[in-house]
Amino acid sequence: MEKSPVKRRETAAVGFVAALTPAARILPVLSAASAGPAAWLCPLAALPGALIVAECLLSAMRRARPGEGLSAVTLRLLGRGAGGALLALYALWLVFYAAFSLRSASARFTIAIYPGTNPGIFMAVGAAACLIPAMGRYVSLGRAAVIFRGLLALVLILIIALGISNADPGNLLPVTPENALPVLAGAPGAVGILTLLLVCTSLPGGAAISRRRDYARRCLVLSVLFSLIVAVTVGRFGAELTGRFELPFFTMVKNLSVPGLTDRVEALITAFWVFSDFVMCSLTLMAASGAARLVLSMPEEPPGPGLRSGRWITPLFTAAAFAVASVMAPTNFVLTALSERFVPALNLIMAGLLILPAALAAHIKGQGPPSRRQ
Amino acid sequence: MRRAGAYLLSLALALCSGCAAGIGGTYRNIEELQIIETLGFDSHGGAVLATAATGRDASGREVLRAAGAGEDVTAALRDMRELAGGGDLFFDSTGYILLGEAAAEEAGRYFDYIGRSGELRLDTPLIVVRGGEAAELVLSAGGDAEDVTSILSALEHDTERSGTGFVPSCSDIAVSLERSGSALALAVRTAKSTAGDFDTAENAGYAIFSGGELAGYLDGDAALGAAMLSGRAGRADIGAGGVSARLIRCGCELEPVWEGDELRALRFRLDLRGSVTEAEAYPDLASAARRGETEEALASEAERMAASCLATSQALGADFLGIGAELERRFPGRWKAIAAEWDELFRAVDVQVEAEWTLLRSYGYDTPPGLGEES
Repeated sequence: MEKSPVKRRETAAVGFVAALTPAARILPVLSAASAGPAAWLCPLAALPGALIVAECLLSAMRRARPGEGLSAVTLRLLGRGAGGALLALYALWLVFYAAFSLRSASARFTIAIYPGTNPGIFMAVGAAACLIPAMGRYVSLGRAAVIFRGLLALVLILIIALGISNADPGNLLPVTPENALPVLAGAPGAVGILTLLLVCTSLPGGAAISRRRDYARRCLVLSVLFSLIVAVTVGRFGAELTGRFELPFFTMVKNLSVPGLTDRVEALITAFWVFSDFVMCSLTLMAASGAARLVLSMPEEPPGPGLRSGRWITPLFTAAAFAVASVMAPTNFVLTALSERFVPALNLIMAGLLILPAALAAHIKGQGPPSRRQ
Repeated sequence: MRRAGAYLLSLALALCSGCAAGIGGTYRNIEELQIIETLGFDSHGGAVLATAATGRDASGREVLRAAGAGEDVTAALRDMRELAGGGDLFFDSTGYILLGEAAAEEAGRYFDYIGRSGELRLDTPLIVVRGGEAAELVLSAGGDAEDVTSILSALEHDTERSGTGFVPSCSDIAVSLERSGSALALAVRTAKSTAGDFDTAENAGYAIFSGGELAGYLDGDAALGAAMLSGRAGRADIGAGGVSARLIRCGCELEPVWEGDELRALRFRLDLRGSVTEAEAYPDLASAARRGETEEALASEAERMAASCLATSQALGADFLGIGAELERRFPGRWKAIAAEWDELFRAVDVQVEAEWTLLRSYGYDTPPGLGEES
């Protein structure tokens, strides 16, 4: 792969921004339910799992030819039959995940800012907005993510600083050797999020998996960030109360105020969080479209403008995501069940189905250009 | 330049925060808002009486006081909105929530509403009106000169700075109830103001919630004892040994006495530091012996206050100090052996308090003035 520091930075920004939505939505609840006061350790416990996934990804991507992403490598290594079936399945999963992103973003808007409003309008606007970058190039999304990362980093610094000042350290203890298993049991949620990001950012044109220390550093930064998000939430409310809230992180944000400046900030923060939903949804649609194009023997990245060369797949997938989002969770109870139980588990299963065969095939076949350190 | 434009364009997303007219009719004209700063709830035979008051603002607008009744909190607030007259009642900036004593006896329903409310914040202080109704204070405290919000604000500051040091919020209460099954809330009492002919509120210790219901109260000394035991006391004044001393710093260490896995006793060690603010008869505090006597007297007084708090806690079976949670935190293995019977064990376990008071200074002179002595 070509060296491209700018692209590495953009890929890192995409991963950072997209990670915030699932992290804020599910990690505090899943971690608190599993590990109680030691919940803040669950994202850190996810690091070994994420690094194993990344190592598998690296071994597959070492066989990539210039311009190939993970999907192309998978297809080439596993063959059109098995590889195609796997990519088709993963593309459908990514469309479902895009739908889930739209639905949960709309739920957050209707809970925090526009109570009682029909979530359909948010899903429609969100789908239309995500279609534009999804039809474009990955590098454009990356550049946008760099901008968003700056704004969200400022917001996060404010939240974490205020959250830490309001947290009670007693809510984050005790941490004993007996917490080890519960902490590990709470780690899969974070592993799933990190895996999804590693996979989705392995798109053509992105310098995602070129050096082991790049993705190790990326996983470490995100794990520490997730840990802080869980810590300020559980630190404020305690593990038991955290598990009772629908969106405990945003409930914690609702109770933050900047002394002498503003009384309530949750509406502003919820509005800025839409950057994360936007990047996540666009990324998954982009990855799904690329995978589908390969299955249909088209270039993963369409060479020209317009809807030819498979570019029509993206609007089709976007419409499908909107349709699925409209029916997948008629009530917030269903959305909560999806969010806390089914989606994290399916995420891990689907990632395993895609990455492990590709890594295994790469190991066995040893095809493609020789791996070189960059 | 383009990147700066992109940042500015992204910041425009702030318009999606509901501040602009548009989706769902959520836009509210700030000129028409009546910003409720104190909200009160009372229970009357299962029905709810909700009362609310705005605060005084810089424009000198009159305080709005409103009331509504209904079969539940939602109905009462809806009734209040309808009867409030002109203006849009805005609860998002509520600074204090008052519960009348009858309402505090079924506090669970109000905690549930506050926890689910999209308008009220969980970090709002919750205060119990001891022996009275929230409506008395909300609708009539302050008369024309003051209002209930300014009275409660002054009382809150006074409590934090020079009283028992903490005013629990709804989330503090909720966290404590989840963790220990019990919690404290500041209690006030309606009183006649000495500054004019109007009602005001005075500090009445702490209300004790156990299992979501009002279980009792901690009066003045016991309330300060609770503050010392939790290490949160403000600069309270304590009198003993012929002096009044101001508490500057307090800390508390819990030392459980174990016999194997059995808990035999709970020993609390209070470390208190303060300074003399007033003395009855010019004590010679330059003398180490005299200082020692004074420190012992103050320490004994602190022990009495803490013991009073613990006695109430044990009698009610209300672990509002979170002793069980601390034992679990520090001795997780031993906690497992006693967790199942903690409620009974807590009521019966031997409790000991030992205090040590260190006098820091005496704000003026250590040696008494030489009245009538030869120079």
